[in-house]
Parts: sequence; C-alpha cells; structure tokens
Amino acid sequence: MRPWSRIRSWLGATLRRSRMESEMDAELRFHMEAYAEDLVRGGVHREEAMRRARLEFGGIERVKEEGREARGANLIDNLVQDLRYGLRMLRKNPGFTAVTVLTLALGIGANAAIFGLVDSAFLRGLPFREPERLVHIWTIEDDGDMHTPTPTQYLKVRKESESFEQIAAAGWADYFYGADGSVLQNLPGLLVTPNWLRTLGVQPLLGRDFRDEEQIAGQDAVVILSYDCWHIRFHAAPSIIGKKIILNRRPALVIGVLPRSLGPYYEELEIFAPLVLDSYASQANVRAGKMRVQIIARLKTGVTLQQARSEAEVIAGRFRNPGTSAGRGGQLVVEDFAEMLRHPGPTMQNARRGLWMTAIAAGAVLLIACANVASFLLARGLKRHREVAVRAALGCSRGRMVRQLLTESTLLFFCGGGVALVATRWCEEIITKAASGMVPGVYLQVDGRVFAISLGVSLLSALAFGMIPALQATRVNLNESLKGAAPNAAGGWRSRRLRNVLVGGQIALGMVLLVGFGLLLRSFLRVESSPLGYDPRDVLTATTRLPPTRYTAPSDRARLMHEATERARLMPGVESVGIANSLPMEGAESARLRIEAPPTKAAPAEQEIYFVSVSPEYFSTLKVGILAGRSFQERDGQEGGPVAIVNQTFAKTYFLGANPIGYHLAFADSLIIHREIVGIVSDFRQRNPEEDLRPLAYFPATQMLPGRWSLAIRVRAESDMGNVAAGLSSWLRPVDPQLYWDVGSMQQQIHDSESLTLRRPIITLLSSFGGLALVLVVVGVFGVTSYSVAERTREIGIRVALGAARGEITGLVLRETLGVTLAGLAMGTLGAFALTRFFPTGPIGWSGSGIYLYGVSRADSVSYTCAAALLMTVAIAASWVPARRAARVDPMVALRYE
Amino acid sequence: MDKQLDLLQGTLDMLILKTVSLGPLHGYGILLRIQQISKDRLEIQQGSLYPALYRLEHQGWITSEWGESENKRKAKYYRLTAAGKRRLQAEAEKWNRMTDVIAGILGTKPEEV
Repeated sequence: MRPWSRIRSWLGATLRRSRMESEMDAELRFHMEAYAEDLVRGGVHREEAMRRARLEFGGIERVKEEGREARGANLIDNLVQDLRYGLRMLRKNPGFTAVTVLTLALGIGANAAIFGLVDSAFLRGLPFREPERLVHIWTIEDDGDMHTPTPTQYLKVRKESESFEQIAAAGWADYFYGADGSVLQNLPGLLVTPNWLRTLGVQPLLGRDFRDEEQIAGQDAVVILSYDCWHIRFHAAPSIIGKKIILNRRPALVIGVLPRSLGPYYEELEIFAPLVLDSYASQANVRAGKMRVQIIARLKTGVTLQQARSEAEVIAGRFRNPGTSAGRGGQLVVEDFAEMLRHPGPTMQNARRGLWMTAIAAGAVLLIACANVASFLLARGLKRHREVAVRAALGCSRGRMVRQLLTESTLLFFCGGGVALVATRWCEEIITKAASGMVPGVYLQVDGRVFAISLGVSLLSALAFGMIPALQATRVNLNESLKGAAPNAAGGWRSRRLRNVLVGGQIALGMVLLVGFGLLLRSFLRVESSPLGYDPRDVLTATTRLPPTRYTAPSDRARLMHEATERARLMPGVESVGIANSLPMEGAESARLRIEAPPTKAAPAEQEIYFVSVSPEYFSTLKVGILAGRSFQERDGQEGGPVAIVNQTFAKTYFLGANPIGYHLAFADSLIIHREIVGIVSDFRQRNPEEDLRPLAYFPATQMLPGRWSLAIRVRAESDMGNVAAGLSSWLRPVDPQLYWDVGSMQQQIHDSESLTLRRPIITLLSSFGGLALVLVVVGVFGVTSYSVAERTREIGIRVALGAARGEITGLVLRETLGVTLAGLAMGTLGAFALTRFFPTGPIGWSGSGIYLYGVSRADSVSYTCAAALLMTVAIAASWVPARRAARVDPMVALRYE
Repeated sequence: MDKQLDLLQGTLDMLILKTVSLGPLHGYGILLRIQQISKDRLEIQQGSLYPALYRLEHQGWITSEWGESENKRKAKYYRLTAAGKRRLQAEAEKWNRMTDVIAGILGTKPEEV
C-alpha cells in the first residue's frame, strides 16, 4: 500500500511537475496571507504584516526545494544534470575517456561475443513454433532396435491417427550440383513431404513453401535452399528465387530459402525437395529394403504425448498380422522431438565444455578491464579532490556526490558497451568462423538478446566497479583540501593501496587465463604431433562418390577403381596409388563380425569391429609395414576367394598373441562368406591423432565395392606436390568426365581431424582473450605507475635533491611494480592451480576426441613458467617509461610545483 | 529559563500527525493548533512545516485535498490516513517509553544507585 502511494506521489511530482509547482505556490501563499491577516487583525499595519509574514516564514525557495526533494521530484532533474556534467567531464579529458572506453569495449565485447555463441548453440532452443508439441515417430523391429519407419508405415499412420495436427515424412538424398554445369559437387539434401515445414512451424525466409501437388511425380522439380547453401553457393542473391538450377542433371526451380538455422538436427543439409513417396520407395539402393523415412508430427492442442503413444500402440497392433503375437517387433514409438537435446551427444557435450571455458576466460577479461577502469577512476578521484571539497563546502551531500560520480562512471561503461556492440557486429563473421568447428550451427549475430546482455553487463560492472572509486573520492577532509594540500597522507595512501590491489588482481587473473590457455595449447600441439603410424607427407587424396543411378553393376565399380588407379599412377610425379573407402582421420564403418579364433583361446564369437576397404597398394603408399603374411593382391578381386587383413591390435586382442593368419572372419548378417585372414598390418590411427588404437579389419576394395572411396596418391619427394594437386582433377577426367573428384591431402586430413577441429576454436578464442588480457595489463600497469609517479613527484624531487642517483629512483618505481606483480603472480598461480582441477582429462564418448588435457599434467611447469615470465616482462616493460620519467624529475621544478 | 522550547529532532512529524488526527486542517491551521495546544511554548519555524508535510504525504501517512478555508479562500487540507493512524500510535508509544526512561534516569537520587 505505502510503496504504491510513494510511487504515485513521485509520478505525480515528476509527470505533472507544473501542477505540483503551482499548488505548492498557492499553498505557501495562502499560509503567508492568512498569517498576515491575523497580524492585521491584531493591529499591525497591512504592509508591515506582509513583511513580517514573509520574514517569519523563512526562505520560500528553500522550503520549495525541500518540498520537491521530499517528493522525489528532483530525481530526474538531478539525473539529467549529472549526465550533462558527466558528459562535459568526459569531453574535457579525451585521452582518459578514450582509453577507458576502449578498455571496457574489449571486456564487454568479449563477453557479448561469447554470449552470442552460447545463445545460438544452447540457449535458444529449437527454432520451431511450439517445439514442445513436436514428436518423432520410430518403429521397433524384430531386432529390438529403433528404426526409422518405412514409407508404407508413414502412410498408415497418417491415415489412421487422430492425435496429430500434421504428420510429415522426410527421406535423405544426395544431390550433385555443378556451378558451371560440368564439375559436380555433392550436396546433402532432404526429400520432404509438402507439409514438412508447416509441421515444424517454419516459414521460408524468402520465397514460398512447397505446395501439396508438388509431391506428385513430374511436378516435383522444385527446391528450397538452406540459408548456408544460399549464402555459399549463390552469394545470398535474392534473385535466386524463380531461377532454375541443375541438380542431378535435372533442372529444378528454386522456390524458397530457409531461415538461418533449423537447429542441430538439420544442420548440414543444403537442398530440400519434395518427397515423391512412390518413386522413393522403389528407388534402387545398395542395401535393399533400407529406404526409410523420418516421421515428424505435431500434436493437436490438448493432446498429450501419453495419449499419442496409446493411439500409436493401437495403430501398430493393426499393422501386425492378426496371427502374430505382440513381440518386440512391430511397435511404434512416439518420442518428444527435443529428446535429443536433453541427452546431447559427444559433440554437443564437448562444445559445452569448450564454450564454458571460453565464457570463463571472457569473464576474466572483463574483470581485468573493470579493474583497470576502477584504478583509473580512483586516480582521477584524487585529482578531483578539490572540486569535491568545494562542492561539499557549498552544502552538497555525500550521497548526492556519489550519485554524480556513479552517473559519470556508468556513462563510461555504457559508452564502452556501445563501442563493444559495434565492434562485435563487425567481427560477427570472423568469430562465427573461428567457433564453427566447435559445435554444429553455432553462429554470432548481434541481436536484441546480445544487446540486452551487453547493457546488463555494462550496468552491473559500472555499479560494482564505480562504487569504490566514488566512495573513495568523496571521502574528503574539508579543512585540508580547501587549504590546498594535496591529498597525500591517509587518503592518498589508501587510494594507492586500493590501486595496487586492483593491479595485482588483474595480474592474478591474467595468470589464470594464460596458464589455462597454455595447458590447452600444449595439449593441442601434443595431439598435432602425436605418432600416427603412417607417413602423411607427400600424399594427396582424391575422393569421389558414385552417383546412385550409375555404376550399379559390381563389375563396373571394380573397373572404375582399376582405371582410376592406373590413370593416377601414370601421372608425372606420382610414386604409388592406393584406394580406401575411408582414409585415416575419417574413422571407419563398423559391423558385427564373427571371429574364428584358435580353439585353445577363449574369445568372443561376435564383435562390433571397425573395418576399411582398401586396395593392394594402399599400405605401401602410406608406408605402413606388413608385419606378417601378405598385403592384398590384384587377384583378390571379384573372382578370388574372400580375404581380410587385420591390424596388430586386432591380433593382440582377439588372438591373444597367436598367429591369426589362416583363420576366418565373417559378417554376422551373412555368415556364408568366410574371409580368410592373410596378413597383419602395423597399427595406425584411423580416426583421431590421439585416440587409443582399436582393432581394425581390412577387406579388399574390389570385394566390398563401396559407393564412395578415395585415392591416396604418394607424390615423389622431388616433385612439386602443389603442381600435381592442381592438375589431378583434370588428369583424372578421362576416366569418367562426369565424376567429381574432391582433391585434398593427407596433411589436410589431419588438420581437419575431429580432435583438432574440436580443439582449434577454443585455442583461437582463448589466444585472443589471452592477448586482450595482456594488452589490458599493459594499460593498467602503465596507467597506475604513471599516476603514482606523478603523485610522488615531490617526494622524488626531495630524494634527488638529497643526492639519490637516477638509477635509484628508477629502481624505486620498478620495485613497487615488481612487488605488486609478484604478489599477483603468486595469487594467480594458486588460482590457476585450483581452477585447472576442473579441466577435463579424458575424451567424451567413443570417438576419443574432445577438449581435454592430453600429454600435459595440470601442474605443467612450462605453462606456468611461460605465463609468469610473459606477465612479468609485460608489467616491467609497462612501468619502464614512467620509471624513466621519474628518474628525469628536476628537483627544482618538483619542489616549486606545490 | 526561556519560555519557548526548540523542537526536538524528529518530533515535528509526530506533532503534525497528532494535530491532523483531530480533524482535517490546512498548513497554517496545523501551525496555529500546535501553538495553541502547547500554549505557545513550542517554537516552530513556519517554513519548516511544509517540507515535513510533503514528506509525510509522500510516505502515505497523510493525504491532502483542496477545500475552502474559514475566510472563503482556497486552501489545502490534510487528513490522516489509516497507515498514518498506525504510525502515530507507534510513534506515540515509542515517545512515551522514551520519556519514562529518561525521566527515570533524571529522577535518580544518589542513594538509589
């Protein structure tokens, strides 16, 4: 009740200012006139009565002012006044203002950028309308696993269910696109029913959605592009809508472009086209019967997930043949769409790790920046002691002065925030690129949320770090100050101690930041240089993916491999050529294999094993040794008996040291074909440079006939690799002019390996934060030392006059910096030691990659020493100039100065 | 001894609340009423009354209304609110306790210690 009346009274006073004024005026006039009338009645002359009434009333203006104050009517007036005064002060000291604003901009900008990244990756949720009503529908089949349903199941569910507003299906598709019509690139795409976007609740950014008739064969030559596809391949030209592009050798009309992000599910996809169910179901595929669709559906309002589930059970019951019992198979599973987000995969968890670390680093940078600004404000507060004293003497209350100083510093922080936002806006692209490897779909865009956060951060830090200097500056001894004494003794000393604490604190923070960065950088370098087991130097790669409509006959595939290998080997400068369906650092497929083991050794009959299909020359091209038996040969082709090679770890794990040669492997789902082990190959890393070695099996490429494979081409040491790489595509063209060859190198593969890709963004971000921290420390130490020298000019003058040598004076100044720095470093070392305990030391998930300490301990002395040495150097260098200035102080000038 | 007493810090608010609790009054009326009840023994600076009134009104203990004075002039009348009534009670109790304690201390004789 009472707070409300107070607000009402304040609003009345503020918004209806003139009315309040005139009422107050009338009331006071009434008082005086009534009093005067009483006096007149008592026999006083009228004029004399008025005079006495005015006199006895006291100063009308003061009464009015106090009245306004009592109603809070002055709040806004004061604020405007303070702002105006603050702006004037900032304009009067452009150097101070510029340094402070830039310092703050660095700190706030770093945080705005990281917030933007975190927001886009984690906080934003799914970019769909009412995502809580979206579900996935899966089937459970006889093997007990969840599968995506078949097109037939989709049609049945759509026909029979009543729980859903929309049910849409999507199937995967590869697209071949050539910008100039000849060279084809492989673009991942999705075939969707026309209601797919409507189900998600997504509107195209440009153009239109699909129409229902576009799912009929013959009318389906329309596509919608993803935002990235539109940007990268069509230069974000809006005129693309209504144009025809050639996809899979057929013209397709571009009808729309999707918004920037579709969330983590659909991140990599570039092309969206209508799903024509009849032709999709009958499409030729390597593994027949695997043409399946992903079903998404939107629950009707008011229908719960539970209701939809029971309905799905009923429908699934109708699917099953009436005779069969409800076994494990033939069930429909309705699952919350956001389920995947709740149980993030390794990549997401890893990204969370990385972004947390960067966010903490950004926070440290902000604190360092704020410490800088606080110490500048402290120093300035001392310079302004006389102004403060005069105002206090004129009756200005301390609260009022604190408010004014706070307004001034808040102004500075807001300016910093503003500059930070502009700078962040400029750096959007760079930062997005730097962070892109960390998590799919992460991007930085300065929007309302980033703006609000920057504003909030500015305001909070302004209040937190502006308060101490404001309190300190208004602590005045009127007598001393007005007499013109410098604020030495107590006040000056207290302020100097505070400034030293701030500088020490920022050095400590810098230490923590640099140690953290050092540990991660050393891990990165260790990963980069870890022994791979093969020789990646001088090896080029050329990867191709066979179009689904061609090379359907196995003999055609085998011939293509053979011809491409022979053609590549003939190229000038080429030493040897091998083929693999997945190159090192690409990982490998896996399948359940039955391993025939020596009868005496107990070994599991079936195991999930990674395997790679390779050509005979593959191992020699990578300079990997055959330890026993033989490599594949040309005769291990289609006619020869099925064979296999295993790696050392495989032999050790499943044959426990016995010789596996002559034993057999078989795929668990086709036990008829037994593959004889003919050789053991030396171990090398297949997925990541730092992974643990795993058992691997190799099969002849000509027996497996993969749809996508790569040539590994060793270039002669004396030839120029760049030349060979540049000519490779056109050299291979005669093999099949329509094939697209993605040319790279083994070194590039390592560079793009999952481990390094995941680690690189955090290295880039942390190194820039470390750099920022160093710059801020330089600015801070320089500023504080300069001020402290200026403050001690007189003392230094006396020392020089008494015979102190120049070197001693320099030493005096440097010693103070040194002391503060050492204290800061000691604190920082402890802090770093405490904080690095939270550093992860192991990978996330099965891939063996992630951001964690690899090959260094958290007490790694090199990181600590380097960080300390760097900070020490920077601090001494920053105080060198002021120290020299101190040494040049002329005692005569210094002593006359006061 | 002087016949007029200076007002103790903070007591003006209480006096205003008490005066207004006896019936709606305008500012000048409050001043006269206090002087009348105190038999002119309290000295109140006329101007200082108004900031106190505004403060009390801002805090919601009194409320004001324009009305007509005895000599047919427009004047602002103050009235006690419910919150003000509670406040007055609390203040008065505190004051009475305080004066008891102080009177007790001042009345102490040497032999009682």
